[in-house]
Amino acid sequence: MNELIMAFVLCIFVLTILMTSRYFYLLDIKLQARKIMKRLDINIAELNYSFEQISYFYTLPSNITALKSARKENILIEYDYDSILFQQLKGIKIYVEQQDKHDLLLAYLTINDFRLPSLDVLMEEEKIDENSYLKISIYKLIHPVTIKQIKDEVYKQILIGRYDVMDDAMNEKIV
Amino acid sequence: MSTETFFLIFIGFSIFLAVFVNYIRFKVTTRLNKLFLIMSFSLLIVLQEYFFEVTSILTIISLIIISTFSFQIYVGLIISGVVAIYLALFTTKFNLFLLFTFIVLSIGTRFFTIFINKRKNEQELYKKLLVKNSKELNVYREVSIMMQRTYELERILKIIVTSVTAGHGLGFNRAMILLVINDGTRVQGKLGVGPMTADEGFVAWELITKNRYRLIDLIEMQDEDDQIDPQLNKLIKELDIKLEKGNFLFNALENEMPYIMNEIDKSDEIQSLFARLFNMEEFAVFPLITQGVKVGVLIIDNPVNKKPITSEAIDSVIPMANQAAIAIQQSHLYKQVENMAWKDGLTGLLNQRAFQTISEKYIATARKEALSLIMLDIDYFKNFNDTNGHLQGNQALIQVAQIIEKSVRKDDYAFRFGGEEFVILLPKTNEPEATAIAERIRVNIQEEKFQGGDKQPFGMLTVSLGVASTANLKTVTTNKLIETADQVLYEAKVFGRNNVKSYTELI
Repeated sequence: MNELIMAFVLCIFVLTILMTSRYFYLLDIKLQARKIMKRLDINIAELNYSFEQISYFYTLPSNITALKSARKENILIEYDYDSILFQQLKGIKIYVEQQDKHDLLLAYLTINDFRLPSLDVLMEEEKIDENSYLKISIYKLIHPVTIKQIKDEVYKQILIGRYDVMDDAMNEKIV
Repeated sequence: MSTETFFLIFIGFSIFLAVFVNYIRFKVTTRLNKLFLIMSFSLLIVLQEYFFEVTSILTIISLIIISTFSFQIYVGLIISGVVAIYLALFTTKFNLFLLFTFIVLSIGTRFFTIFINKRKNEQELYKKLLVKNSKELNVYREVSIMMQRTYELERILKIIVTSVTAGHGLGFNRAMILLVINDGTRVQGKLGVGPMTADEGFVAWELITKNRYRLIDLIEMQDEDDQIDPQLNKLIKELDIKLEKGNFLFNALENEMPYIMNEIDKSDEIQSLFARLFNMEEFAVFPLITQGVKVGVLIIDNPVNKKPITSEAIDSVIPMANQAAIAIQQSHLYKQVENMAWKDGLTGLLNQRAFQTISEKYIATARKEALSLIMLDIDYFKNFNDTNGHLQGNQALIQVAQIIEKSVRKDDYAFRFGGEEFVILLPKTNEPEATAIAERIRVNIQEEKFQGGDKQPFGMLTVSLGVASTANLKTVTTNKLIETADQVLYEAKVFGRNNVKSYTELI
């Protein structure tokens, strides 16, 4: 009987480990990134980045129905982790939700490609190391404002692609 | 306290332990992270034994799996041994079969981990390749679309260097293009994009990300601003290099293959020159060749992030270089065809067809900004031909054309209108200004020595010129402007030739 209860305790223990590890990983990233940024007097909002590093797997604008008819609410962002036990964010997957089908993987942004010029300068000046750079860039990437901006950008790509100039009406639609 | 309550407290403690371990293990190094996890399982086993006198084999198995999964098989085996000793010393559960099971479990977990890691690494590789290839494909497609939109060499060159350097593009820090001239004996610097120093590069990079510039925006920006990377372009445009056996540019073009210069070869003067001028430490050169025609070279380097140039990076540039070579060659051919259609074959001046197009463009705005026209005719040219022969006559026409080109301003257009007649179109110019330019042409021709010119009636080759301006016309059309200038020219001939007459004088 006791053996069975201990097995139950083990299950609870393992499940708690698995279910809270991502939360605590991201919490730690946030806390450490904030600490480093405070030391270096960096404001998260002032860290510029480029959308140009997002790799699209479809030609946009596309004739695929799911992409053609996609709305901004259909764009989903999923964090891509390296391991379930020892979390490490590798990038973000950008999906387009499809009715009655699997979500369509539209684009991917690797954390290694998510470069922030201000941090590049700090690293060149040896004020931060690669590890601190990674923490701050993950924090910036998962920041709600960045996620919203990425969704807006992806939606813009779905609507007009990369080559054409956006008119005001289109801009309003995206915003 | 009842046993049930105690169990509930223990479950609560287990949850707390798991949360606490997760809270602290991400704050430390990966190695310590793994160690904390193993320690938390060990603590759970000890507490189970201490409080409930239960040796949970399942928890022990979990510990061995986690240990082997986190570290190597040796750690799994050590943990198995430690657990076996623990069981032998503090419990009654130890037996050799259990030890054997732990060892097999550890080995099995290790093999399973290797299998999982292999699959995971494969998936990572596929993902990496997918992302890389998708990105490259997008760049090629984008560049191809932009190149198809133009035949202008300057714009094509801008597209190439920007695509190679932009973040969305292939991501090199700097690129420059040199084109082959003089039937393949020399290369001349044409255009470059990129910083001269790392600091300059960081400033540009910050600006690009701040304004969220796309590749197309960067190219459009360069169209608007001729002064992009002025210091770099000044140095590039001064480059005029002889293609000699042994230098790296010659080798790349001759062997039709790219080269990575990981270190500057000081025995190659040209490499040393590039290193000195552009502070290069490592760079790569790509020949731009299409259908056997050597059109130029593309040079790339990374002076900002100092990222080594790999063979993989070279492979990603090759399709772009091939595409660039085709576009440049097409632009050359288009220019040749345009020249043939727009230029006079003998003198190299613009022809009547070009006059129709260009004059229509300026006549449209001639009411706001005066447009003047000079009509020029060589005096007694039939006599010149009869006396000196047609070949000498052609030579004289070429010489006259050259003098006209030297005598007019940068924004003026000179045309051969047919036979010995020439026209000069002067945008934004009133009649007195045009008359002064006509006089300058007349004097320059009079002072020029033409072979056989001494046999002309005046003892030299001379011209007569008629000047008209839209400012003095009631009806502003191209035909009216020509007709007026022609009438004035006729008056100049009547007046005695070798002179300039204007419409104002005539009326």
